[in-house]
Amino acid sequence: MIELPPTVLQIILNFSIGLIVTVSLNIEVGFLNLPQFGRLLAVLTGAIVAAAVPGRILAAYMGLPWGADYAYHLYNFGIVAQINNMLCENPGLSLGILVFTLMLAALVGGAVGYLCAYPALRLKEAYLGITLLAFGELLMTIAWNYDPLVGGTMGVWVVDPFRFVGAGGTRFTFAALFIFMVAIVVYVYAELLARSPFGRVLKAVRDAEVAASVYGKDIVKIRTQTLIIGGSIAAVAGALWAFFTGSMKAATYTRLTWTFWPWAFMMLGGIGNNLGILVGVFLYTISRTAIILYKGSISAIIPIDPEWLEYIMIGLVIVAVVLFRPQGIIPEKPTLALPKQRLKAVLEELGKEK
Amino acid sequence: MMSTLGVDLILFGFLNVFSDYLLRVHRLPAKYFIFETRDIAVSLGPTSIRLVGLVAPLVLVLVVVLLHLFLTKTKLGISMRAAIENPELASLSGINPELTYAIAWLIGGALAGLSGGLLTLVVTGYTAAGMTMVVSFFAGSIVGGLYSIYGALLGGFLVGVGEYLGVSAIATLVGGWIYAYRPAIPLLVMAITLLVQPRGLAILWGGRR
Repeated sequence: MIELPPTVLQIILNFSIGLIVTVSLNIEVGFLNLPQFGRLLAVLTGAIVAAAVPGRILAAYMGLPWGADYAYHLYNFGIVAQINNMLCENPGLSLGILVFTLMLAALVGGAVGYLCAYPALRLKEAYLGITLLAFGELLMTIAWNYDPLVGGTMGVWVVDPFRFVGAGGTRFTFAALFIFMVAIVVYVYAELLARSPFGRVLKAVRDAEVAASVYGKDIVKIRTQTLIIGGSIAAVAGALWAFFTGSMKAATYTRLTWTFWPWAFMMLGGIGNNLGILVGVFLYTISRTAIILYKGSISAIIPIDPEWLEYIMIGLVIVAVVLFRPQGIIPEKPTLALPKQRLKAVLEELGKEK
Repeated sequence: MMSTLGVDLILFGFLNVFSDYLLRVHRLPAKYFIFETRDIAVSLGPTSIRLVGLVAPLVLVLVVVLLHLFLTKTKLGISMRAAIENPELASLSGINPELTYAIAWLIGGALAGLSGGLLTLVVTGYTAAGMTMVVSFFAGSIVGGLYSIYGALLGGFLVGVGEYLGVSAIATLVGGWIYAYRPAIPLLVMAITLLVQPRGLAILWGGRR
């Protein structure tokens, strides 16, 4: 099988994961104007599902310890190594486990979104934003300290459903391409959602809540559904990330990476517009990879860690976008209810009648 | 909120750049600061506490009194409240809302800096200290309600007491493992309060809705 160079892999991976998370954020923030500052919550849920569930199922199937012992760091490595050896031999089982886990992550992420709907229907703006942010931190604290779940501070190894294609570069190429595929599916789904009647209802509620409810739209139901959709997509991203990295440590999931960066991607590209998000994520991924790639040569010239340049860059972009182009690179356009051709035909017909 | 974060990220980046520069060029240990041991101990009757334990509450009282006087007695403070309440009406009566917002930011930044100065005497100072602690500060301000000084006072008090005294109280009941979850306590306090009182506790004594 083909092997891609690590830099290309890095770009594909960061782009795909960033795209999935940002698209899910955009469905909630861009289409419905919910102050979702707790994207971390759903992403972390997905990662926990991927780290805790498939390994335990396979361990129980193989007759290995699967209870609290599974997450104990001294046993975990051995157990996961045995499971991975078994998965190498069974491509079908590997793919099955992969798909099953992603579906389970989506389900649990959706449930988390549903739970978030309880405060989301009661609190307003900043109160809601900070409550959601706090929920994410809460889950992180629990996962970090409660060892039997995902190993606490020691973390756990995640079973590797990509290993059957081969070790090393082949595995990473396959995994990155698989994640890229999922990202494309998610993107197409979000685009279809934006064009669907449901997407137009979301934008109607966002722009004029009272008017929408006058027309008989159930605001409570719409908000709940949106949170469920966003939560499940973000959880899939978390599960994919955990599978790709092969290990799971709660503290590596920070609100900066999984909440604020997607916000920055979204603001740069254009809030409420899927194409804009694609562009925003792509630009960020390229510039971040460039910084990482030239890390050595940057720190040779100026005596600092280039990591901070990344922070400064993202901060500057956020401030610049807010100041000079609040609508983003590609502003949101009203979506058409029918294909353009048909609308034109209808217009012509109307013109003839007159 | 996002533009605040953008500024925060820029400042954070430059702070780290500066500390890296000090460390690598001048060989100064600029990553961690421990001032706790440098603090003066003050003997108070039978016990002795560190000076910051006296200074911090005094500063708090001073700040609250000054803010109260500023917001209720001075022209600028009243116009600030007016600009937040109804910007259009305020600008009709000759208040420049943009200027008052800028001044509010100035005061907010100054008070945050003041608290940071006191904080380094209590915890180890490092560049990401603010980033890790900011969530419980958010929690404190939200619990009290965003439009009231006394709400903030009560919120900060509740969250702080919950985080330290509350945890020790719970620990005597359920055991020491709870200490690991200490950062989660203020968040829990906040979540519960908001679900009962969605606009913060300041509503209880007639704060702004």
